Amino acid sequence: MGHSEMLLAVAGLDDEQVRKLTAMLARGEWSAFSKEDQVAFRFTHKLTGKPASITDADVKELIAAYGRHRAMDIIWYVSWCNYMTRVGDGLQLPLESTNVFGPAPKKEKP
Amino acid sequence: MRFLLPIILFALPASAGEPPRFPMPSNAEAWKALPNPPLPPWARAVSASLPKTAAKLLELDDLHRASSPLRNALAAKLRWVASDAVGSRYGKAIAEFDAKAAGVAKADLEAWAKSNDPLVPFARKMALAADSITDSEFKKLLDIHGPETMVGIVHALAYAGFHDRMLLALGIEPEKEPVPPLGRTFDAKWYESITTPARDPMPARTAVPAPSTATFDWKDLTGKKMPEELATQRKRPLRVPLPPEESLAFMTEASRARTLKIVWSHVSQGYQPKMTGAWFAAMNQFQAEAKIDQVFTNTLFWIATRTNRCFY
Repeated sequence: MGHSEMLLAVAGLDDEQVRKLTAMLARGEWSAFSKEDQVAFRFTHKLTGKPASITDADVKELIAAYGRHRAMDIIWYVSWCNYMTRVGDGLQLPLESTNVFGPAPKKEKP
Repeated sequence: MRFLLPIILFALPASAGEPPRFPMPSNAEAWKALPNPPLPPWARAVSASLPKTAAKLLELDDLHRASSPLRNALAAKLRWVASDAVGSRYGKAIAEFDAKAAGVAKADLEAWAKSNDPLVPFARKMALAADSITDSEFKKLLDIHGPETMVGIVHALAYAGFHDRMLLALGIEPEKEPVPPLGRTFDAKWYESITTPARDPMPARTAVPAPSTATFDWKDLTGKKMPEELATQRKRPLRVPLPPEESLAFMTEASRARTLKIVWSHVSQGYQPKMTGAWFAAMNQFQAEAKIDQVFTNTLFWIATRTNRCFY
């Protein structure tokens, strides 16, 4: 969770925007988000928590909201999230105290 | 020789009478994007939207199935338990196939899954609730296997968590005979020759009033509790020794400096550079190919971490 908040900051949100966004998500105040966002949020929650319960209707809804290719992107990405968290949880990695996802270092000169 | 055998692939629909969730190109059509026979059905489905990412995933899949740093027999046993826990029939089928190829019969696989080996409950917990693994459970395994193998086991189970979700979301059912690991890589010239399909524009993210569709209760961690959990995670002792900086000697200076800042990367690259390198290659290819809004994706990441109660 700490890393996702760091990455939201790298993506352009300031501290207050990150705090407001995550507070709304955590309280279940999803009515502040678009219908399409809510489809993606619900899909993410379900694929993460109960992957075998994903139905044809869930996937059709995702495709209707985002198109076939973007729906595939979302499936790939949510699955990716579940790789990352398993390493974090399995090894119980200590969260870094500063945002470690700043701009990538410039390429070294040969 | 195995690649010369004609293998008919069956792409079963997600449920009887329903069309596949995503267009399922024929093997011949899929080979226009990924030139080598035969391809597993999940790769054919992914290739229609993310052909370059599908290629990197095939290389990653190869590593976990056919040349695992853990040894293929252990990798297949772990995959079987993890896929069984989440209800991935395809995952179990390929684990059985790979176990057999590594000399482990199905009966032995099932017997191991019922044995007292502490790796079995560890694999199940990694699949279902990785946050519930205790320090003492991990320490017991660490004393037996050592840090290098334990980090490899965690990555193997993380890959199962990734792959099984993709299979379940795509509605991929087991084939009559699973496709063997592909056994090839794709060169730069191939990547240059491939065009990724254009995406529809993302829907406008302006807040159009819509009834909330949240289907959970996360109020237990609202208010001050969330920052407290993050603060606790900052103080957590790492379960394996931090690998020495010399373990990253294979990297460029700039990559090493970046890796040393991120504990996830430092531990993973230090103990399991092959698994981590193949994973990062797939991840980076996806980022380059999908070019998807980062606020959107990291919002999904936050939801996934919250669902898994992963405070890292």
